[in-house]
Formats: sequence, C-alpha cells, structure tokens
Amino acid sequence: MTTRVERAGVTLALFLGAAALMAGIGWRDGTGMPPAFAPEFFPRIVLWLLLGLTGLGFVLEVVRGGPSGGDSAWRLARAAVLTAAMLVFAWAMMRYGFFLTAAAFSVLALPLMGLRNPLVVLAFALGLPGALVALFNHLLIMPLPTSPFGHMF
Amino acid sequence: MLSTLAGSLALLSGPEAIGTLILGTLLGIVLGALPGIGSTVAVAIVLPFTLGMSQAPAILLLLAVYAGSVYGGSISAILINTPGTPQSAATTFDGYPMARRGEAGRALGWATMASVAGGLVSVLLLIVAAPQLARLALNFGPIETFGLLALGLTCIVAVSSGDMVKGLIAGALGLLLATVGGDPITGTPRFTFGDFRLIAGFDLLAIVIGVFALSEVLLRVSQKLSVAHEFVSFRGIVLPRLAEWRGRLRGLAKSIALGCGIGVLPGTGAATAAFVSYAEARRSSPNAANFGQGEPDGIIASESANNAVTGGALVPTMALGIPGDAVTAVMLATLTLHGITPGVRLMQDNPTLIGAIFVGLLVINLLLLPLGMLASAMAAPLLRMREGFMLTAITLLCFVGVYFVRGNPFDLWVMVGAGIVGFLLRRQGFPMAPLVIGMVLGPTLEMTLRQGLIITNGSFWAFFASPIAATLIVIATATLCWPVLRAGRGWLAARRRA
Repeated sequence: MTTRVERAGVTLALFLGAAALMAGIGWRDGTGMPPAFAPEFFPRIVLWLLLGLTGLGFVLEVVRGGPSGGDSAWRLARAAVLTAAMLVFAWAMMRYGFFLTAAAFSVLALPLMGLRNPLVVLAFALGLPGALVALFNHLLIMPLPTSPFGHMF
Repeated sequence: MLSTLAGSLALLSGPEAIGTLILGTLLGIVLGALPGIGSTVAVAIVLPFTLGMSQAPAILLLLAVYAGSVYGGSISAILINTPGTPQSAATTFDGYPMARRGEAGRALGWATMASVAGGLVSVLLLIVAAPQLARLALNFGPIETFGLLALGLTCIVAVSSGDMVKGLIAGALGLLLATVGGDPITGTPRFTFGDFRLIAGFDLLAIVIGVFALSEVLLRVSQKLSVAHEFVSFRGIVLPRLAEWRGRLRGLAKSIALGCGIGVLPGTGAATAAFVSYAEARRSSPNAANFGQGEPDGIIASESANNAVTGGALVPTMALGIPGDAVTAVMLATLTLHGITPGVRLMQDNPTLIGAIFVGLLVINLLLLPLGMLASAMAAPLLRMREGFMLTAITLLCFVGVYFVRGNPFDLWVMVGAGIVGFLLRRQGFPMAPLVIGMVLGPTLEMTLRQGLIITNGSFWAFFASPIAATLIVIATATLCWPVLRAGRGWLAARRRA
C-alpha cells in the first residue's frame, strides 16, 4: 500500500523529469525546419502530452483522498537491499563472472525472502547458477561471462 | 494458397518446431501454474531464449508458453486455491471446493477439456477473421496507418483498468522511450546525452523484461511473501466421460463465444472474459444452485472463456498490428526483435509464417490435453516450493536472458533500471502494458505522422481529408473522451443526489 504523498511524489517527479527534457530540447522549435524534418518534432509532442498528463495526475493525487499508512519499513528496506544487490550483480557479473556473482546474489537474496536454512540456501545458491553455467557455457556453447579465476566458471 | 499451406506445414514439420511446440506448451503450463508468474512474466522470461531461433519456432514457442500458461493457471487455482494467473481466479470458486471434496483430478479434467475446446474454437476464429480484417487494412497509406495507430494507442485506455490517467502517462512514457536514439529521418541523436551506447535506442527486450519480470520480483519482495499453501490430495487428471457432458455443452458454447468476443476487443483480457462468462453461467446454468460449491459448470465457464481469449486477442494483433493486452504487446515486441514489422502488411508480407502460426496454434491447443496431464503432475510438487526460490530463479534467468541475446553489459543496466522504474510505477498503480505498447507502436507512429506531413506539405488538417483516417482519429478521440464524460456525468449525478 502506498501513501498519497508517495503517489503524488512519483507523479511530480515524472512531471519535473519531462519538464527538464523539454527544457533540454527547447519548448518551441527554433530550427525553422518544416515539422516533418525537425528531429525534435515528435519528442516535443510526446513531452507536451506527458507534461499535461502528469500535471493532471498530480492534481488528481492531491485532490483524491488516500490511505495514510504505507507498507512496513522492513518490507520496503528488503526491496531496497534487493535493488542494490541487483545493481551490484549487473556491475560485478562482467568482472567476476556469472557463477560467482549469481551465487553471491542468491546467498543474499534467499534469506531476504525468508529462507533461513543455511544448507538449503547454499545448495540453491550453488546449484542453480552452476546448472545455468553448465547449460550455457558447456552444453549450448553460448558462454556467460567467466571469472578471472578459472575458465570453467 | 496451397503452396503457402505447404510452406507453413514445412516450417512446422522440422524437429526444432515440433520440439518447440511440446517444450513450450509444457513450460507454459508449469510457469502458469506457479502463482504470481502469470502469462506476461512467463512470456517475458522465455523471450530472450527465442532470439537464437529462427522466426517460426521462436513465435511458436512464445505462443505455446502463452496458451500453456493460461491453462496452467487452473492447476494452482484448483489445487491450492491460488490462481497461477489472474485469468484463472474465477476457477477457484468451484475448482477448489471440488478438490477439497477429493475430486481434484476430476476438477482438472473439466478444466483441461474446457480449455482445449475454448482454445481450438478461438484459433478457428483467428484463422477466419484475421485475414479479412488485414485485407481491409491493406490499402492504408501513411495517413490512414497513423489513424489506425492512434486508435491502437487508445487501447491503452482499455488496458489501464482503473486509472486512465496513469495508463496514459505510462503510454506516453513508452512513446518517449521509443524516441531515444538516432532520429529515423535525419539521424540526429535524441536524448542520448553524449552516450554512444544510446544511439541505437533502448533495447526493447531489456525494457520488457525489466518492467514485467524484474519489477514483479521487487514488488513481491516489498509485499508479504507466501510461506506454504494448504494442499489437497491429487493423483492425476481424470477426464470427464462423454455422458457427463450432457446438459453442459450449451453453456460451453456460450462461454467460448463470450471469450472469443471479449478477446477480440483490445484491452479487455482473459480475466474479464472468465469473470463475465462465470457470471453468465451462474445466471443461466441449470445447476446454478450448486455454483460456489464445486460445480463443474463454473469451471467450464471460466476455463473455456479464458482460453478462448488467446486466439481472439491475436486477431487485432496479427491483422492490424495493434496489441490488445500486455501479452500480445510482448508478442509484437518479439516480432520486431525478429525483424518482422508488425502492422497491416504483416499477413501480406509473411503468409507462410502466419500460416505456420495458425496451424501451430491449433496443434498447441490439441497438445494441452496430453501435456496438461503430464505437466499437472510435474507442477503439483512445485506448488509446495517456497516463493523465495522462485523469485531468485526468475532474477537469475532475467540476467542470463538479457545478457545472452547481445552479450552487451549495457543491456543489463537498462534492464535493472527498467525494473526499478517499473517497480516504483507499479507500486503507485501505473500499468506497464501501455508503456510497452507505446514503445512498440511509437517508431511507426512517428514515421507515419512525419511521412503524412511530408505528403500534405505540413498540413495537419489534411489528415482529416482522408475519410478512413478521419474516422479512425474521431473514434480514437471518442475512446479517450468517453471515460472522462462518463466520470463527469457520474460526478454531476452524485452532486445532484447530495
């Protein structure tokens, strides 16, 4: 469940983002080219549309009542940690190979999702990435990134 | 005609195509049975693995996963009272009570037969209706195509059940994402901020997987995760005997007709069809009194209608290039990724492929019967699996899938970024199907608008000189305005009452 402030905040952020992009390309066409040949012609139409819609959406969110209580902080923190883990995964996968990073990601993600048994977590964290590496790198010969420590994984 | 059919059958007769049909249907049933994955996420997960395949098997794999997942949703709906897909929600009303009586196998038998019947009839509708519709649209020039695409975009209104403004915002965001990269006419970079990796635009696949699959994982983690389900005893599917169909065929036919009709309307979807059909069956069935207590007519109504939508929803997608819902939007994205331009010329330019899709769909629906029996036995133990395993596996598959296609690390960043944005937007109730629809239709919409303006010397009014384009644009405007007018009328009525 989200709060009214959160909903209005997201809509406002979209509005401001669209306004910033519009400021970047200019609010009006200054090239003097016929519209069909101006590269910013279509994006400008879309941005005007987006500005209008997000403006309307923001007003509606402010006017419309909504629940005051949001999701529990723990659950949101869980999603935030998982998001950070995904970003690190995307960064580390090319440097340390798929197997090592996927195993590390799984070791972090599984307890976050309520799995506490260390043996089960470890078995899954090694088993699934291992199976994927075996399938792609050794069976299909369509290699996923490997680590600097060995060509097998 | 005959040579086209022969070509289509040749496409289907290779070992790759046959294996694809069988494996895709099995996979679709199992993925559909897992609660929370749903047809769209199932198709999005499988999508990257189709890119190494040739066109026909790739499309057939996705269609098999789509049809299989719609049916697969009934397995968890009946066995654990939790629909695997929203389309099967109405199946829980009578399926689970039957399962609790110890008749889980019979309930799944009714669901399987109804699904097969619904799916087969809807494919026949697709085969008959789509070419006629496509023939009508063949004479369209850029102006008429622009009108058609504008109408297609208003489907966003229909897809955005609940909040039209949020659906339109998501659609506009999709259009904006489609403009990133080199301008199609002049080649000038747009919104690339000096980063050469953006010159070719965002990878559609990375966006689709991010907004549907990865955001789903984040969304589920931010909610209460399920731990274990109450499980009924299940020893395999028991098909209904011929005599048991007596008195139920009329209801089956009505549900299939409702499913096909609703499926053709863009944006309505299988869940709507299943509920409408269930409500109608509850009103008109001779066994209406037993509804909600394990009545097979309820299962037949829901399952035949939701499977009948699969063929119906493909009619506007195949004939006009207009996706009706999230799954068909992903299908169109797949066609684009395989170098096929979706639109009014799709059937004209690729008759053999389209023929293979039609015949393949018939085979997929027939395969639901034997594979449903096999896959339900495979899926049942998976339903006891903790959600954490499933979500972690989905995340790893998303990374593998996106990397596997181009081997481009930048696509991983795009996918994670799309996942985060998708998560933030979905939390606020923004639907993601319009975003993908906007991104798929955006480039063609821009090109046709600019081509139209070149033809008419920059006159917007000339768009209304073409009766077809004018009609389509007026219908699109009316589709957009109608919910606003209806809301205004409701507000006025409420004020008068107060």
